[in-house]
Amino acid sequence: MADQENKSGVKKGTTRRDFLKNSGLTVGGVVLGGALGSLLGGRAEVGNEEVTPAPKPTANPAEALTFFTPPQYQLTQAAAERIYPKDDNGPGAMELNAAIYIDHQLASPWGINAKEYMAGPFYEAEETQGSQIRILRKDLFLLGLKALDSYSNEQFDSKFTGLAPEDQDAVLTAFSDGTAPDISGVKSPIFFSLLRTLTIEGVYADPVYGGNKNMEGWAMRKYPGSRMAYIQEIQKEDFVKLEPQGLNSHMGH
Amino acid sequence: MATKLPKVPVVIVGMGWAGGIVASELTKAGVQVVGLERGKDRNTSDYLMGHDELRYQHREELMQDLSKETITHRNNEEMRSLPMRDYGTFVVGDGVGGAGSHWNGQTYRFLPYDFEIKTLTDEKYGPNKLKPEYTIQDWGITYDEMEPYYDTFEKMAGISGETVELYGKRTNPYPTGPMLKTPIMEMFEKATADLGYAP
Repeated sequence: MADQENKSGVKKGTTRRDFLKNSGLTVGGVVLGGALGSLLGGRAEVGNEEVTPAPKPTANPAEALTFFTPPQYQLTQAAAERIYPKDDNGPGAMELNAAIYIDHQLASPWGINAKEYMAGPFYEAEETQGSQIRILRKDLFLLGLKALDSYSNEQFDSKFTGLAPEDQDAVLTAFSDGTAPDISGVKSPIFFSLLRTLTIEGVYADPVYGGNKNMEGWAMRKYPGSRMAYIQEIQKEDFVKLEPQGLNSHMGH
Repeated sequence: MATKLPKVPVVIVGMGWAGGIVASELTKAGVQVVGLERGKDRNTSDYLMGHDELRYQHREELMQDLSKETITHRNNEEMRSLPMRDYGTFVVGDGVGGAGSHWNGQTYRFLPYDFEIKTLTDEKYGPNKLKPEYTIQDWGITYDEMEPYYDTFEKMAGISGETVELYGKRTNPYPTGPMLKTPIMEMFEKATADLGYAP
């Protein structure tokens, strides 16, 4: 199956070859080496078997996807990074693993609205009557990701991750102000709000939930993290700098 | 086959602050009481896990599971009443303790004025201040009648505070002294005192 190319030379759709190549992708997009790589046209040395060493498995076993597919993860990562970018203050959402946090949250009972009232009938609500959305949060999020790509393709002839940051911002702004079309009957600002809230949570929640990597989100704000009490510090005149600590420091087991 | 339990003279539905106090007073007086409460029992060890902000503040773990039951609401009769599907600012407690298990623990006494709001407004501002369409009225009990019960409650719960002259008269000071003051609090107090404000 030949690659389909549009006028601007950007490939649309995936071929079987792309799938085989990409199936070796790790979460971070790095292709696993070794025998698989050489099968697909990498360095296949006859006799002298040169094996590209596989990347070291990340130290944190919880840094793996439990909900997203790699493309969904990469799109979420890219969008989150635009909302909370790396700058002079420190790392952005990508480095802080906000997308891992989002992945784990959508996989949790909260992702399927487990403790919300989901029985019908559903009606249009006034502003003051709260959310009356019938689709599950995890589904709204995935549909929203698709919508980001649709809108990007329409406006810029590329999927979201292929866009320059300024164009990504333009797409996200359209979702945030409602210019982008509804997502399965849900106004686009609602999806954007969900994405934004999850991103901020992903940067600042306790690291046990997968984000706020190495508590660097907290460190940037001089936030001391989770502490049982501040009895020693509360009456000090001067600012007391406390290194951040997570729930594992006092609620480990 | 349902198990039939022995009859008791009093059954109280709801073991929050109100039901709990009624049950406590009745049992102290020798009356047998059965208290019914939806949700689980709680003890101190449950609260040791409370520092997980995402779990308790954002995902509202202490609150009622709305998937089983919720309230409906509307602002006026023209609207269709719709279910509260997810929590906003109004949260519904659950389990033994009810709302008391997640309360903020601020227990200011009402002012004497609050109990006689109609009479005292008329006294202070004249009888024509409140337009006829205002429906406010006196409670029917006064601060002075309530005072001994405030005193008992504060002692029972070990409420912390300091006596403020401007507020209602107190038979006794608070059983627990006031909270420690932070430097910011002291700065605020000094600033307001310098500006001539009280308390």
